[in-house]
Amino acid sequence: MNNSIARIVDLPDEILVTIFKKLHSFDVLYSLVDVNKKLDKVACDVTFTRSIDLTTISLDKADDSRINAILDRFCMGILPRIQKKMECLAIQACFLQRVYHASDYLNLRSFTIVNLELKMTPNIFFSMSLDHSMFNE
Amino acid sequence: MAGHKIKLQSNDGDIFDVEVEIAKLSITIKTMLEDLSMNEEEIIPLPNINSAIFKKVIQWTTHHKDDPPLPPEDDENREKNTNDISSWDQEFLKVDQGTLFELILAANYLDIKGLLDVTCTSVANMIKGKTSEEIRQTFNIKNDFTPQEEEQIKKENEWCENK
Repeated sequence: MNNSIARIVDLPDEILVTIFKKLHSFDVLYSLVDVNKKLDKVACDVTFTRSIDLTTISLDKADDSRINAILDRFCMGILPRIQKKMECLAIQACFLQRVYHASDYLNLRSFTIVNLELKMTPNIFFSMSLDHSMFNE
Repeated sequence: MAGHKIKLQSNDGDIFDVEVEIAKLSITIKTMLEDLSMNEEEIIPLPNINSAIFKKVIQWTTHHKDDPPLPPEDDENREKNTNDISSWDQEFLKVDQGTLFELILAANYLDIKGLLDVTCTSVANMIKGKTSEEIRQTFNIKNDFTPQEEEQIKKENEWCENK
């Protein structure tokens, strides 16, 4: 019905932002970082990197190889690139060590840990206190 | 005013008689008629929209002419719900990707918030959960990073992997 060959990469950045805002920041970064220069640039905008919520990756799926692959991509390919822009991060306690060691989190101001067992708490915060660079404040 | 029509011309020359109340769902056309005092007898040109896409836009606006206005969006707190596309809209959006993106551009140009919202949601659904390689395949996108640029990104990330 239409002779046009409009493609997603032909859309202006402001429309791409409108589309991406319909997704969680995690989904935007996971799917669009590294795709091509244009989509990578929009996905890495501070709109999608300021606050990251990884709590939807749940504890009972921790052994699932797909979840591990997702976390690997996020920790090794995405977190290091967005660390300077990230201000808020939320994760499941079971992934804490992995996410903690993935980046320096230079501007992190809010860190939420979900499903943290009390008996784990002293070890975790002792470990973190050895590396003050994680928190700006 | 109900039933009163105006003439709108697509960029390939077709002229459409459209009810004023339906045409005014486009804020762009509404502004032309009201603020710029355009005569309703004049043919209003739409230089960014071809006839095939404009037919789809008229189809959508005609179906949704009695919808209540969308509430203003609160981007920070808005529930990210990409499942709330009505069955009529789902059927309407069973089009090729080129048409879908042209509809988005038309909705943006004509400033039809509801149409822009549902078309963008449809694209968001196509993105959700896919890997970067699956995104390239789905949308036929070429990876335009040079090997040098990819190497640079790897180097920047490397210290984290070895930390």
